Amino acid sequence: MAGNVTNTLIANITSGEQSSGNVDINRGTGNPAFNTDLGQFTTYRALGVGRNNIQIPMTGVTPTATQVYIKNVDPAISYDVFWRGSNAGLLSLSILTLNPGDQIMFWCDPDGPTTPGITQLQIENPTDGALIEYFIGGKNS
Amino acid sequence: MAPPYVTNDLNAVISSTDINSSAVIINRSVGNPAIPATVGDYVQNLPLKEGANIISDGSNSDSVLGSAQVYIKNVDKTGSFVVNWFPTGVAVVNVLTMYPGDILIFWQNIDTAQHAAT
Repeated sequence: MAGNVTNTLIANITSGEQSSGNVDINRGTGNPAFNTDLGQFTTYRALGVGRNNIQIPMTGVTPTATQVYIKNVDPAISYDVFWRGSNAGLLSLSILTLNPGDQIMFWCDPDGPTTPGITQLQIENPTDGALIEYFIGGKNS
Repeated sequence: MAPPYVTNDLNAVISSTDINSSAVIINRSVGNPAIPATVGDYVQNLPLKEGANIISDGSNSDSVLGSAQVYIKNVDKTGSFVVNWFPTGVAVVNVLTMYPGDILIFWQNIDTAQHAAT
């Protein structure tokens, strides 16, 4: 099935020397574009205290997200990202703490050799009202 | 901590385009963080050995902060692999299985990172 939407990540990474301004590293990441059933973007969602479940909006027995972007858009509060990899057991694991402005993302081919991506996404938040921005994409199963 | 010698930039845009109409439904910059850092290191087409391969042991910083900007891409034509890392203060975790072409990125401000991955 061709899917409904094409989810694209256009990214470029550089590392510039501060003393000279020379750009030592300048690398495109290949701009992966995957045909999927869904792309959902949410910004400035206020999190509750404790573990917040971020719904993976695809349908199927085991909804799986294959394109994910998460950014901490709160001005002051840090929180922890937990997710469960599709091949990584039954529990969500602590992946990374995101401080204000920090971000984490992955862009996986939903038609990979076996099921890629994650099947659960949670945020452990210490303070009521912390703000988050995220994108979730993938195919229905 | 050593002074920042480099600025590590991530310029990225996420989009979602309707296949039928070609309408761009979502088009979002991630904010293009430019982070002063001590090291920017890039390696391409590194052949991995079978089993666990240590890519970074966190020693590219003179503190316990470890790596705060990371980009990983599976550039193999057929092979998949599993990415593991140690979030600071946490045991090693199985983060993601990456198939050919898959990308994994995090970009953190090293001055505020409390738990950047090591």
